[in-house]
Parts: sequence; C-alpha cells; structure tokens
Amino acid sequence: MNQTANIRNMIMFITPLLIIATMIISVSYGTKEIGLETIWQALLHFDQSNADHQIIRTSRIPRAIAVLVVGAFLAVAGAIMQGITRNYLASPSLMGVNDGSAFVITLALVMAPGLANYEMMILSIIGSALGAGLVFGFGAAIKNGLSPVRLAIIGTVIGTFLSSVASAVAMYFQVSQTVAAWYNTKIHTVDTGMLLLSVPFGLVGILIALICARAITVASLGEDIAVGLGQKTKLIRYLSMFSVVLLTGTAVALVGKIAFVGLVIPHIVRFLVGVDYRSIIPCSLLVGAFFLSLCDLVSRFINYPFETPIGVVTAFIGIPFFLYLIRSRGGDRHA
Amino acid sequence: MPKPKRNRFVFTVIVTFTIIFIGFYLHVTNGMFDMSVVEVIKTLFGLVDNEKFRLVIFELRLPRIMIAILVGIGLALAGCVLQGITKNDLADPGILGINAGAGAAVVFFLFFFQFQAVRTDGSEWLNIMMMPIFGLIGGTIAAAIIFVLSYKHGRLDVQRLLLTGIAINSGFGALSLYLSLKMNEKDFESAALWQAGAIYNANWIFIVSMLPWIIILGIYIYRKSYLLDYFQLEDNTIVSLGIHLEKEKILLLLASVGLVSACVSVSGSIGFIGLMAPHIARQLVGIKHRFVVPVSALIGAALLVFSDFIGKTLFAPSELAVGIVVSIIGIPYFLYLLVKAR
Amino acid sequence: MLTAFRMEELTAGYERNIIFENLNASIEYGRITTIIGPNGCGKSTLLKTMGRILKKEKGHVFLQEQDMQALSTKEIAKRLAILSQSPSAPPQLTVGELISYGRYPHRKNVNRLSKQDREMIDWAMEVTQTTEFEARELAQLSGGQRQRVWLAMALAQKTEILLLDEPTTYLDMAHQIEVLKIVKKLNEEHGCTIVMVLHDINQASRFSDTIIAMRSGKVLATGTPREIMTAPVLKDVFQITATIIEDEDIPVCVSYDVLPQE
Repeated sequence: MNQTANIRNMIMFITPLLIIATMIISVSYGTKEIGLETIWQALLHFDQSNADHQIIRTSRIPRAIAVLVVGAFLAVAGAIMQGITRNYLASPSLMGVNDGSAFVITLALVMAPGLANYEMMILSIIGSALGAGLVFGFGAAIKNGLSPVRLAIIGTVIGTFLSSVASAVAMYFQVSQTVAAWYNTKIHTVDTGMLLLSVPFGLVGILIALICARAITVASLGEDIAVGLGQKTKLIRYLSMFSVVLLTGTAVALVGKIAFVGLVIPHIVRFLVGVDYRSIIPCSLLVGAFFLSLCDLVSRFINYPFETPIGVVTAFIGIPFFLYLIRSRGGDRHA
Repeated sequence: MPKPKRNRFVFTVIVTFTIIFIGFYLHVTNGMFDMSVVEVIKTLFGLVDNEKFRLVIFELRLPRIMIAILVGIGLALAGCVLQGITKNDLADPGILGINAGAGAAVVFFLFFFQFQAVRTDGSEWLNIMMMPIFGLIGGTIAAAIIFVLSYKHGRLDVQRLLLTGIAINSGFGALSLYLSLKMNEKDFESAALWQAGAIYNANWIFIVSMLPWIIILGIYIYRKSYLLDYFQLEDNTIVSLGIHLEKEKILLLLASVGLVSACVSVSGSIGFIGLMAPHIARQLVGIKHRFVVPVSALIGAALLVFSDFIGKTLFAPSELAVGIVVSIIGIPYFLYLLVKAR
Repeated sequence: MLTAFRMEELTAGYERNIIFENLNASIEYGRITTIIGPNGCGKSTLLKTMGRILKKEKGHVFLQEQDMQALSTKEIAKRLAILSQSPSAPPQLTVGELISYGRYPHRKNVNRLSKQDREMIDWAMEVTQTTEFEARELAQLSGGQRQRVWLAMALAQKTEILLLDEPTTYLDMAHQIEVLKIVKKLNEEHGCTIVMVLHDINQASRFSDTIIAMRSGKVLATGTPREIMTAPVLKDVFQITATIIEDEDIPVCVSYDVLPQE
C-alpha cells in the first residue's frame, strides 16, 4: 500500500517536470530554432512584429498544449472505460468513438463545409457519443457482448460500418483525401481559439472522472459487488460514459484520430500504482500528457523535415505493447 | 439424416441459386448502357455480330460477375471455417490480417512505383497481376505474423488469434495511412479504392488465377465440414474423441488463409461477407456444417453479386466500392442477427 | 495384476505452472478407481494427463502397458473415453447427434452411420436411459439428463476404459446417485474400467473399488475404501479430523472438523 502510494507521489512529482522539459524542446526546436530567451520574451512581452514571437504564440505553443491536453484526455478516457467495463482492451480507438466522430465530421465536411470551429467541436463530441453509444449499446444487447473479445469485435464492426458510410459519402463527393488529411494533419492547424474552446468540455470531463474515481474502483470489482456495496451502478455508468464521450470527442476535434494512447497508458499506470482509480485517473492524466508530447516530438523529428502523423507513431509504440498484453493475458482463460 | 432438414437444405439451395441468377441477370443487363435479355443471350452464344455488345459482356460484365461469385464463395467459406475453429461466431476473415497486410503492400507498391492502378491495356499478364501479387505477398506476411504470435506452448490459442488479428490489422492500417498520406492524389485514390474492395477492374486473368484455389480449397473444406461440427464442442471433448485437434485446426486455418489471399489479391479488402454469410446460413439450415458450408458459399456469392450491382448502379456513373456496399448493407443485418440470437 | 494405467515419473501442469512432478501410480484394469483430494491437489490434472487431453511435461503414461506416446490419438480414442467436467455443446444440437459424435474414432464414412454405429448408439442410450430424448435438443434437457447424454456419448465410443472428471458436479443429489449407479453398472455388467475424480468422499467410498488420495501433487495413499476412509489418512489428505462409521459395510464420514490450531 505504502509503496504504491510512494510510486504515485513520485509520478505526480516527476511527470510534470518531464512534461515541462518536453514542452521546452517542442517549442524551441522546429524548422527554425528559437532560443529559450526568445520564448520567454514571446510569452511575457509579446511583440507582434517579431516573426519568432508569432511562430511561438500561434503555432508551437498551441500545438504543444494540444498534444498535452489530448494525451491527458485520451488516457483518462481509456482508464475510465477499462474500469467500468472491466475489459482490459477497452479504449477509445477500439470502441468506435473515433470512427463515430469521423463519421459525423465527414458528413459535416460534405454537407456544410466551412462550419465554425466550435460547431465542429460539438459535432465531433456528438459523433463520439454516437460511436460509443452504438458500441456499448450493442455490447449490452448481445449475449456476452461486453467480454473483451466480443466487445473488441463489435467495436471493430461498428467502427467499420461508420467509416464505410463515411467513405462512401466522401468518395461520392470526392473529398476522401480532404477528410483523411483533416483527420491526420489536424495537429498543425490547432490554434488558440480551438484550444480555449476545448477547455470547458475537457474540464467537465476530467472533473466527472475525478469525482467518480472512487466509484469506478468499486465498479471495477464487478457489478454484483458494486450493487452489494450500495452503488448506483447505472448512474455511475452513465456519468462515466458521459465523461468519456466529452473527453474523446474533444480530443478528436482537436487533433484527429489518435489510437492506442487510451489503451496503453492506463495499463502502464495500473501496473505502477495499483488498482485504485483515485490514483489511476490522475496519474493517467499526467502520464498520458507526457506520452503524447513525447510522441509528438518523435513524429516531428524522426523523418525530419517531414512530419509523420502522430497516430502512426502512437500505433507503432502501442501495437507491440498491445501484443504483449494479448500474449500475457489474452489466452482462453481471460476471454 | 432427418428428412425435414434435408428438404430445407435443398429448398434453401434452390432459392439462393435463384437469387444469384436474378443478380446475374440484373448485373449483366444494366450498366453504362442497358441491354435486353435477348441481346445478352444472343451475345453470349455468339449469335449477334455487335462488337460493342461482345466487348461489354465478355470483357466487362461477365468477368466482373464471375469474380463477384468466386470472391463471395471464397470469403464465405473462409468465414465458416474461422468461426468454426475459433468457436466464435463473430470471427471474420479480416482478423487473419490478410486484408490489412495486402492493403499495406498495395499502398507500398503504389507509393514506390507510382503505378497507374486503374485499367491498363490488359495485354500484359504481369501488368495486370502486379497488384494482386503484391497483395498476396503482403497478406501472407501479415497472416504469418499473426500465426506466429498466436502460437504459444505448442498450441494455437484462438482467442489470442482474434486479438492479435485486431492488433496487426491496426498496425498495417497505420502503415498504409503513413504511406498514403505522402502519395499524390491519383495514387491515393486508387489505393483507397483498392483498400475499400473493388472488383470493377475484373478480367479473365484474375478469374483463371483464382479459380483453382477456390475449387481445390473449397472441396477440401467441404470434405472436412464434418469436423466443424465437432469443433462446436470443447477442445477437451474433441481431443477425447480422437481428433487430431491442433493438426486439423492448422490445416483448416491454412486453407482459409489460401482462400482469403486468393480473394483479397484480386478484389481488395472486402469485409463482412465471411462474417455474415455463415450466420445467415446457420439461420436457414441449422448447425450441421455439411449443410452450412455449401449454403454459406452460395449466400456469399449472392451477397457479393448484389452488392456489386448496387455499387455499380447507385451513384452511376461513379462507382461505389463493393466492400463499402457490403459493410453498409451487411453490418446492420448482422447486428440485428446478433441481438436476436440473445 | 493387470494394469489399465501406469504412470512413471510423470510431470504435468498448465503452461509454466507445474501441478505434479515425478508422480508414480498405477490403476488396475477392470475396477472402479476414484481419485480424491482437496482442491488444487492435481487430481483432475492427473486424469486429464491420463486421457492425453493435457500434454505431459515429462515421464510416461502406459496404457495397458503400452507407452501412450507411441499411440495415435485416434488409437487411444478407441481404447479410452474421457468425459471432462461439465462439458458444453451448442444448445441446438440434438441428443442423437451428440451421442453419434462418440462414434468418431470408429467411423469410416464420416457422413453416414454404419449398422454397428447405430447399434452402439442405441446401446449407449439404453444404458444411460436417454433413448426417449434422442430427437430433443440439448437446451430442452435438465442438468441430470444432459450429464447422462454426455455419458452416453462417451459410451458410444465403446472403449474398455472410461475416465470421468467429477461427473456429478452441479447435479441434484438424486441425479448424482443416478449417474454413479450407471457407472457402477457399466463396471459390473460390461467390464468397463472406470477412473474418476470425485469431490464427495462418501460417494467415492460407496462406488469405488480403489481410492487414490492426493495432496499437493503427491499420491499420499492408495487402497480400498476401508483403507483410505480412516481418520489418519483423511487427516493427512484434507487436514480434518473425521469421524468414520460403517454403514452396510461401507465406511462413511459422518462429521468432521478442521484440525485444532497448534
């Protein structure tokens, strides 16, 4: 007990430092190298005529913050999903959330091009809710539907359905590549306005997650035990799903589809700090933020000067981990 | 053999044949320009001397329908086998990773050779078979990776197979994405089209190259269909009956890898036929695989012929990839079946 | 003594988790032998290894003095049938169909039952009193009926040796005895060698010729019910103080308590 608490405190202490370090690297390096002093200046004494200040304020800092926030959102969303469904594979990308959002966004790009950012944000959240709602709805309506393997398959099936409809529409209107680009290169286009917009949604999501943390720990023991302990299991389910939808919807709207963060981070955190979600959720938040910042750095510099989509980087880090999970836990007995 | 079941089987076979025939009729008479039945029949038997009709029927429509039928049969059979050996009625040949691996290989190919994947002259065998061959290689690599990773302690764990499939699929998906975003627009479109599953560029070479696979492996699976009945029992029970479980499982799996590779290499990634056809077949003729296997094959063919017809005509003159049509039609029905089976 | 099984330095387990090591034991032909022991002692593992459902790690199992390693799985299936604990099958399967699966090792044409197959299936249904269910689906049967159907499937295999892994779990008391009586009849009237794992020591005592008592992967004692059902043996095996009385010549454990704390 004491040891996990120590580890938790260590994570709480060290990760912010690591995050700051990553952010500094992220902001100062790029096509143009910018010194620390200039960054400082740009923050405190912003000079509109200074090109460096412009780059920092309008492009690099928003981007660095965006990946930070998105990493945190996705990791927390993943942690909640895994806790509530007691499914070690649960995560936003496997559960149709991303595809749902992409589906609605595609429709929006075709039917009402030129929507304002906040409208896209809300649509993306609605889309995430649609995807998650469909997957979990069917999971609950189908026999054994919430078991890891079945839910993963249902998630894939519904994800495929939504993306098929989306690509039929996109193909018909010949906007396939626009849509693909919108989703995979979004990270460049993040601006301060978008970021500010995501704050209220994200905050509500995180707050719910933190408030529900204890209840999620109880829920992760199983429905029978949770009911036995007097938990309003339905309420907790709805609340935490609401939080997941807010968090992932905002994340997708900010930077597009990013897989595996929500799957991998909670596992690593749980391995380190144990099974109490009051530790898991805040730690996932920090570790997720750090992880995605790091991936962003990798994506920018691994194939310099070309950028690699960040989702590709997380996939290549996440997949070996996923395979490891399957190999160590994915046998018949855990199905 | 109880009589009613056999009668039901015969009835179902007749009905599905009729449906395939209707699909054939619609497909062959509709298109860029419509033809009457008489014209079609005359052209088929060489009774009419219209070069345009001949070209449309023999070079465009007929090969396309044939491919649809063959791919439908292949994927449905592979689906039957996979659902049988994984004891998971949600398994789809897509989990073998062949689709995703083949997709990545084709994207890779397009990316490095900037090949005009749209119709070539049709004269050169190599030109036509280039994409299928790349697809085949990529698919086989993916299948091999999944196979190796699911094999542990001397046995093939089927749950692990399903999950590893999902993982490897997203890995190859990420790879394809990475490459395709760097492509020029034209190659991107053809890669996207190929990945979505398209059979509009069918030709006789494709048919000749995949026919032997379908026939040989199809017969093999039909002959082994009784085993799939036994596979509905638990592994312990199967072994105790003296069935060489691991050997049979791996042979059947290899047969489906062969079928799916053959299909995917010519048609691109078409999902859900292999998932749905066996489901529908079981609803119609029960759980005995001597009936389920052939009926699934026919249903797979019927589904694909119809889906391709819809893909061809719905947004005409633009084509909608058949894989997308299959998903859009098939998934809601599939989910309905799942919910009903509760 | 004619042996049905002889285990020599046998080691087995699941993946890396070894359940028993270098185990030696033998099981007599033509008798009913029951393996008892506390949970996790390796009794089911031993049975499964004997039935080659579980691969052994090291050592040998001799089936009627022939090394099982040298026999093909089909060959083994003609000589022994093993019924695992609470097996399952698709609920739509008919009883007749399931029982006919037991004929697999003997069938030449997999799609048609021979006259002999038919006879064996009828016999198996008769012995287990399941003839009337033949056309029904498994879903329509009660737990006891279903267990008898599974037993019939194993019988249809027509083997001299039958291995049963806790054949009475999840059954009502009356159905438990029903199943065990069928087992007894098989042994007495048809000369079947029976090896089973039972949870209930009183059932083991009443229905076995020999009892093998295991604890922590070791065979602690082998003997007749009268030799095993004694306070000292049960103390060693289950860590209990037992009171044993005899009822119609069968030793019965009437009450027990945990060992006093030291």
